[in-house]
Amino acid sequence: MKTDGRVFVLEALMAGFYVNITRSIAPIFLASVGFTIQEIVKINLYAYLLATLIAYVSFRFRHILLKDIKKFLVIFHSLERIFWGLIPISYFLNILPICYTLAVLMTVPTSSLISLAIYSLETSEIKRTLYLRSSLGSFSNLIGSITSILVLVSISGVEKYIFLYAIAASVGIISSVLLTMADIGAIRITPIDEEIRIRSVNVFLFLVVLSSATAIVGAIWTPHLIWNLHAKDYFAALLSMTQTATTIVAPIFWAKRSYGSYRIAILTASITPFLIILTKQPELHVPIAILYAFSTNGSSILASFLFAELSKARDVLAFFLAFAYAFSQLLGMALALMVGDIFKMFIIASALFLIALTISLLAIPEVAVDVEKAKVYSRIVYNVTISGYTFSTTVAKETALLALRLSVLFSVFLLLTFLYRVAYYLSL
Amino acid sequence: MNIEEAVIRALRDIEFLIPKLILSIILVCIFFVIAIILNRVLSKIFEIVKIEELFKPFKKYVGMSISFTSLILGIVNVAIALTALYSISSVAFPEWVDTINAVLDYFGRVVSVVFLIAVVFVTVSRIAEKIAVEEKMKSFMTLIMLFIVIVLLIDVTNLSHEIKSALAWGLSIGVGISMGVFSAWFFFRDIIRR
Repeated sequence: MKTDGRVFVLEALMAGFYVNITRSIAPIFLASVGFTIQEIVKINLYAYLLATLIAYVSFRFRHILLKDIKKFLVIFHSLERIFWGLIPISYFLNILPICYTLAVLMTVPTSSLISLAIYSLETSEIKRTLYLRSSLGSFSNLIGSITSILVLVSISGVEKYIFLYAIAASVGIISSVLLTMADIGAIRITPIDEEIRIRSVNVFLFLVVLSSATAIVGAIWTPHLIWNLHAKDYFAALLSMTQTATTIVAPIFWAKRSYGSYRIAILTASITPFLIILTKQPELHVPIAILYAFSTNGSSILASFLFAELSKARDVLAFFLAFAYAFSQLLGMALALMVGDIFKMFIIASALFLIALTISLLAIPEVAVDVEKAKVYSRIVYNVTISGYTFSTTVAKETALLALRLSVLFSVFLLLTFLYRVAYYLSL
Repeated sequence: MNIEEAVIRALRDIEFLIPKLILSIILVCIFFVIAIILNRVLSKIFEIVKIEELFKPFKKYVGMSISFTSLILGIVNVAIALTALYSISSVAFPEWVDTINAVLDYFGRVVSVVFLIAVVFVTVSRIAEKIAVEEKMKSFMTLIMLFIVIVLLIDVTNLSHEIKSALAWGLSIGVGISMGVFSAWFFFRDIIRR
């Protein structure tokens, strides 16, 4: 294996620990310092709204990032770890929403650039690196979960969160330092043919809906346990660890299955939100967490297989994934906030899983029952999505222009008001 | 008051206005987006159900080519604009509600006068075409119409009540006498000639 690949594998080994602690503890920390479920959803909504914009902007101006991938990757990678590490301290400085938003924003270019850096390796090296990253990442994820539980059980007060985030950020920074040793090659902007475009849009839709569902469950399950079922914070962390452990084992089951069997995975995932809301005993949430992690793992393996088929346009794919992730989080949070009630939030999550299943059955030929019909439907879905996208960008442009024109008009009005007011006061 | 004090007080007024104006811009943008979406959705629905077909006989009867989709969309847009106007005034400028009501009331009167003038002109020209009246008769009808239009216009002007009343009375009497003389001549011209 070349030095490059090894650096990325080591990076995943370090990052898994950091990612697990910072991401899984965030909702627990927010709930324990008094944030309600609605407030947590709101913070996430604003953060992912900006993240979606950043993802779009970084895709549009990717030529700038592609000029020096390594420099930008190291900068954003380090900043991401710093901001995530500062979250508990930012609470005491009353800037938690800003710090959380910045932390989320930094994940967008980081994830795009790290994917790009891996795609810059030789083709044979890419698969091996990705496989090793996934295995070692899962292992360090588990270590992160165990560390979280141990710290949450043994230390009391808010200090435990500061301690946990400090450890996580330190390990995370080591992974950033490791990246400085990587020898990242150049990536060119590749044109995409229409067939790939149609497939990408449908896979994008599928991934967005699926991730929105998991975003809702991920954001509200822990606060629901702490607030409504009065579970301890370490129990919530235990639940997270159970899910991590399941995602390590689950690929063994799902990897050799046919595309059709992933339908069962999505269907099972759609049932779990109901189980979560109907189960009042916190202990019983552990088997639900196993079932949920097992089924969502199957769904995400399907998504990754579908994306692997599109891997010709690697530069686009890396940004595309980051955008899909940010947008799905935004969509999930917006829907959750719209319905307001926790019971309805879980229903929405369940409905989103079912919509994802419908999209896959209708528009993704690999999963569809009737392949020929699916090809026709996929073209229809593509056309509808593209026209929707064109319409929304036109509306956004027109609205921005209108806002600009009105601002200019109102500025002139303010200037006139100022001048006439001065004249009026002088006349008094 | 010296200039420094006047500038400070004017700046304070501006400071008070800025958040209201920003709020107004946001509201205008929101309603703008709603209007665009509604227009798009409605025109698509009208296109699918072929709403213009429904009004075809009416169009034939009137003899004018009016797009009913545009007409309905226009009414929808006016409704959205009014909602936006009242939303802005209630949120940012509640003290202006009465003024806005007065302005809209006046605007409504002007619009109704314009509409009435248009209807009168169209109707008279249609009648003149149908019954093929002679040139003199046409001129007379136009003259009467102009008098009626002037009365309507006087109603929306900002003249004093006495002047308005005097002008309206004068024109009405003039129109009445003209029509009386014309009717006498039209119906009894043979007797008058003898």
